[in-house]
Amino acid sequence: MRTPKLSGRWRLVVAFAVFALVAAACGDDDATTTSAPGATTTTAGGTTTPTTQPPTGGFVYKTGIFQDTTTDNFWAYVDPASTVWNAYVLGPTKPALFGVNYPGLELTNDVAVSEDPGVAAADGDGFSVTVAIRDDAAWSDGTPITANDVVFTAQTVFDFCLGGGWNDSYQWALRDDPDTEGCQRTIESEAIGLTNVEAIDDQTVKFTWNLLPGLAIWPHGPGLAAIMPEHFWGPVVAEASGSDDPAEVLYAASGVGDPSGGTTVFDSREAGAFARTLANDTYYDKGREIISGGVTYTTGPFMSEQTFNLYGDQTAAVLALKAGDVDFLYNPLGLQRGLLDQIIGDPNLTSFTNATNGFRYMAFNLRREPMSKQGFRDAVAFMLDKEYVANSVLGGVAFPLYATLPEGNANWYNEEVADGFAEIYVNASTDVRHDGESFFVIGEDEEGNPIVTEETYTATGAEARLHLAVAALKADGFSWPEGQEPDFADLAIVPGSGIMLDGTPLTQQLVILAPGPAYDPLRATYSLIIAQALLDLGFNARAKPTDFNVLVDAVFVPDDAGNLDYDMFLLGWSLGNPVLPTYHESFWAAKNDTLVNDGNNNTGFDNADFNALVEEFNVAQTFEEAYDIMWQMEQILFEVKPYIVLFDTGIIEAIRTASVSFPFLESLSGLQFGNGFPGIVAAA
Amino acid sequence: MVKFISKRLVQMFLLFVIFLTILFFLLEAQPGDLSQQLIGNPDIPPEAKAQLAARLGLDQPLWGRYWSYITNFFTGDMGVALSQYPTSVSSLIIAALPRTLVLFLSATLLAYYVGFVTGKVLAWRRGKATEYLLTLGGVGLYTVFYPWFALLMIWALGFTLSDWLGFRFFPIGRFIDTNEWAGGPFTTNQVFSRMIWVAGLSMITAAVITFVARRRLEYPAAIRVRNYAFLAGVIFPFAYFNFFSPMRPYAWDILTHTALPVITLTLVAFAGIMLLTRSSMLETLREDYILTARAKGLSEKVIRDKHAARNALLPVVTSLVLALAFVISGGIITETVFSWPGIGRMLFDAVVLEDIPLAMGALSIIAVLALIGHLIADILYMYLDPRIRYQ
Repeated sequence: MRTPKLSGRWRLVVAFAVFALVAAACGDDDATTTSAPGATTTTAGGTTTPTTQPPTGGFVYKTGIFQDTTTDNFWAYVDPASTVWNAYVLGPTKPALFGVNYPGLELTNDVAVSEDPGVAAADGDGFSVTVAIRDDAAWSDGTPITANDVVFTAQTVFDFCLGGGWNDSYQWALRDDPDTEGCQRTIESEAIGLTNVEAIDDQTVKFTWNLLPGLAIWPHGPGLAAIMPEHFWGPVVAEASGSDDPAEVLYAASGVGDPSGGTTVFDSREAGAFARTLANDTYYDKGREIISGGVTYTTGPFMSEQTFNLYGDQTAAVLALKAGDVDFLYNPLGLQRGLLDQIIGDPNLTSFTNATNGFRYMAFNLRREPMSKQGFRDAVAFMLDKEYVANSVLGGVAFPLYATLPEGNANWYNEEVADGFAEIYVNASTDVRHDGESFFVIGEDEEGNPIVTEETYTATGAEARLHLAVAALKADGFSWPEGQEPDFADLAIVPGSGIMLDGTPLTQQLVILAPGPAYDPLRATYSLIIAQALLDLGFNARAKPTDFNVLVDAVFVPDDAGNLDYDMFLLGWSLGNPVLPTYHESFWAAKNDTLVNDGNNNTGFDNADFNALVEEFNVAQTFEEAYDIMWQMEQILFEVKPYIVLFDTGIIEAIRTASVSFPFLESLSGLQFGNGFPGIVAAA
Repeated sequence: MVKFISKRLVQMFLLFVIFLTILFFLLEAQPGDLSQQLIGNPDIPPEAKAQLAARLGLDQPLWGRYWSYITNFFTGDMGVALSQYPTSVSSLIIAALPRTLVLFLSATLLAYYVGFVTGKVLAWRRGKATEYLLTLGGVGLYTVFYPWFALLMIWALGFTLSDWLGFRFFPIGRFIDTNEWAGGPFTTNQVFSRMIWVAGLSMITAAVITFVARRRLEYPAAIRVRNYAFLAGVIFPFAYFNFFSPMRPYAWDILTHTALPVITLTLVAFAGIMLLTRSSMLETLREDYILTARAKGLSEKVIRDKHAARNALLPVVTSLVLALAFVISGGIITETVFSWPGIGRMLFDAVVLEDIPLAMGALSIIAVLALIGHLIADILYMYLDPRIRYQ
C-alpha cells in the first residue's frame, strides 16, 4: 500500500495554522497593564490589583474565608455592603477617635489624645464635647490624621444621607437646611442628634448635639466611628455631589489606594478568588503596650501581609489548615463541631471555644391571642426545661440562657441577677397543684392497690413545671372542660384537651416557625419540643420547619394587609457593640415596632416601663447608670416575655500554632470578632 | 440543511420563551418572592429599592412584571444581583463562566475520552477478566457518594500524598494560589479566558486541517495529517504559555489546581460513558458488516476502531454534546468541595439567598446553551450517520 508523505503544500498549511494561532494568541497580552511595585494597576473585568505599599519583612498571615468579599470601598462596606466578610478585610484599615481593647472590651483612645472621652457640656442651645487628636497619628501615606478628616466624614454622612452603620454612628438631628431635602432620615426632631461637627484646629474636633447625649451617642456614636481620609476621598465626594444619587456614586467608587489609619492597608481583591491586605508599617500605635482583660501585649503589625483565601467547604479548609496552607479560618459561626476531631491531636493546631455575643430565642406575636396573654407565655416558659434540652436532647452542644445579655460579655453581665432568673426555672417546685390542692403521696393498701395517702410532698421537675404552667394559664382566663385538664401521673404528662380562653374553645392551630434541620438542627429540634409542650397543655400546635429567608420574610415583612402573619418563631441574634449593648432599644422599644417604623421590634412588644427605661438608657452618662438601667430592662423582658431566650452555642475556632501566635485566645465571640487580630498576630 | 437549521432556530426561540415563562412563574410562586426580598433587605437603601422595583417592574401587576422580565432579558438586561447589590447579574455570570468552563470542559472531554476508549476495549474483550475488572471498578466509582469521594481525593492526593512525598503535588482545594496571584499583573479571569481561547483555537484549527485533509488526501496520509494536527493542537497551548506568554506561571498555577478536580470528576463520570460505549459496541459487533470485515481478513484493530467503534460513536457523541451544553451549569458539589467559585456555586448561593434575578439569569444562560447543544447534536447526527436526514 502506498504511504505518501506530507507534501510541501501541506507542511505550509500546518505551518501557517501554527503561525496564525501564535499571532492570534499573542494578540492582546499587552492589553493588561502591569506595574512596578508601588504603582496602582487597574485591570479589565472590574478587578483591581493595586499596590499601595510594598510588603516589608514579617510573615504572611494566611487566612481562609468562606464567602467572597464584595467591595473594596470602605464607605460601601459600612452601609450597603456591610457583610462580616468585608469587615474582616476592610475593618482594620480605618481609625476612630476611640477604640476597644481586646479581650477585656475596655474603651480606649485611638487617635484621640486622652483615653477619657469626657462628657458633653452645655454649650449655647445645645451640648458639646471637644476632643484633642494625637499629633503623631497619620495615614499610611504619611498624611496626618486631622480634625478635618473627622469633619469631612461626618459632613459626608449628613450631605449624602448615608445610611446603615454611618447613620448609626453619626446621628444627625434634622435641621432646617436645604441640603437635607430629599434625605431619607428617620431621626425625629426631638431625638438626640448632632447639630454640628467642627474642626477647631487640625488637632481639635468639636461635636455639638441638640440635647444632652448619653453613652450610646457619646462616645459610642461618632467616638467609635470610622474616620475617612479627606485628601483621598474629597475629590470623589465632590464629584458625587453633582450627581443625582451621590451616595450611589460614592459607594460605586473604587477604594484602591485608600490610605489606612489602622493596622493593615487594603491591597487588592479579586472577585471569587482572594483578597489581600498589607501591614501598615507606619501605623502610629505600633509598639503600644495594651493591658486588657488581664492580658498584656504589644500592638503590631508584626506580619507583612495578610491573604484571605476563599474556601467553599469547611472540611477542605480544615485540611488546608492542617497542611499549613492557612493559619486561621474566619467564620462568624465558627467551625463545625464534627471537624474538631481532625484538629484535636494535631500538634500544629490548637482549637478553642469562646462564648458568643448573641442568643437564640423564641418570640411571640403579641398582636394575636393567645400569644398576647401573659399566662400563655409564662406557661410556655415553665414547660421548657432548658437544662434538660441543652444537656440531653441537644447533646451538650448548647448552653441554656435565661437573660438576653450573653455571659461572655463579662463587663455587662450581672451574674447574680441572671442566676436569679435561672433559679426560677432550674429548680422549679410547687406545693400546690393547679387546682389548688396539695400533692398527696400515692401509697398502697394491704392488697397492693394504689391509694391516696394524707402525706403531702413538694412537686419538682416536670410535674412542678406542668402544674405551674397550668396555673399560669388558669390565672389568665384559660380553662379546660371537666376532666380534660392536663395532669401528671405515673411519671408522665397526661395531655389536656379542649382548651378554652374566656370560655371560648381555642381550635386554631398555633404554628411555630423555625429554621429547618439542615440550616440549624438545634432550633429545629427545639421547635418540636415547644410544639409538644403546647400539645401537652391542650393547644393545637405544630412546628413548621421553614427556609431561613422565608422565615425572616414572614416575621419581619408585613403582608399586603399590613400584618405580620405568624404566631411564634425561633431565630437568633448576633449582637453588635459589646462595649455598650444598645440592642434592647432596637428589639423591644415600641418606637421600633416593625409595623410602625420598619424596626426590629416585630413582636409588637409595647411596655411603658420598658420604653421609659430605653429613654433613660439613652441619656445615661456613666457606665454604672447604664448598667443598672439595662438590667431593669432585662427584668421586664424576663417577666413579660416578648421573647423566651433559649440557648446559644460557643464558637469553635482553630489556629495553626506552628505558624502563628496570639497574645490571647479567650475573647468574646472568638478571634473572628476582632477581625482575626491582624495587628497583634505574630509568627510562632 | 439551511432550511432545517432555520426551522430549528425558530423552534428553539419559542421553546426558550416557554422556558423563561415557566421559570418566571415558578420563581414567582415560591414563598419569599422578589418583592419581599427587596422590601425586607435592610442593605438596600429605600430610594434604591424604589428605583429597582420600578425598573424590574415590581410595582406592576403579575403580567406587567412578566412582560418587564421578558423584555429586559431580551435587551440584555438581566438585572442586579440582590445579594451583591449593586453588581449586575451579567457581570457576575461573566466572571464565573471562564472558571467553570476550564474545569468542567476539561473534565467532560477527558471523561468521554477515557470512557469511550475503555468502553471500546470492554466490548471487545467481553467475558475476559478485563471486562469484569473495568466494569466493577467503573460502576463502583460511578455509584460512589460523590461529596465523600471528592473529600477523600483531597485528603488522599492533596494532603496525605504531600506528607509522604514531602512536597505538594496536588493543591488542597481552591483554584489558585493566592500568594502567586496577589499583586500580580493578571486577573484570574484573564488567564482563564486566554487558556480557553488558545486551547479552543488550537482544537478548531486541528479539526479544520483534519477536515480538509480528509477531503483532499488519501488514506493513510489523511490519518497522518489528522494525528499530527491534533498532536499539535494539544501541544500548542502548552508551548504557547510556556514560551510566548507572560501568563506562564499563572496558567501553570491554574493547571495544577485543575488537576485534582478533573481527575476526581473523570473517575466518577467515565464509567457512564464506558458502559454506554460498551452496549453500543456490542450492538454494532453483531452487524453483518463486521462479519464481512472479518471475512475480508482485516486486522482486529481495524475492525474494532474503524468499523465497529465509529458506528458505535453516535449515542456517545449525542451524550457528549448534551453534556457539553450543561458544562456551564458546573457542579455545585464539585465547586463547593474544591472551592472553585464557578457558575454552579453561584447558582446555589443565589437559590439559598433567594437572589431571584441571579438565579433566573444563570438558569436562562444554561437553557440557551442546552438548546444550542441540541441543535449541534442534530447537525452532528447527519455528519456521523449519513442515513439520517431531517425533513
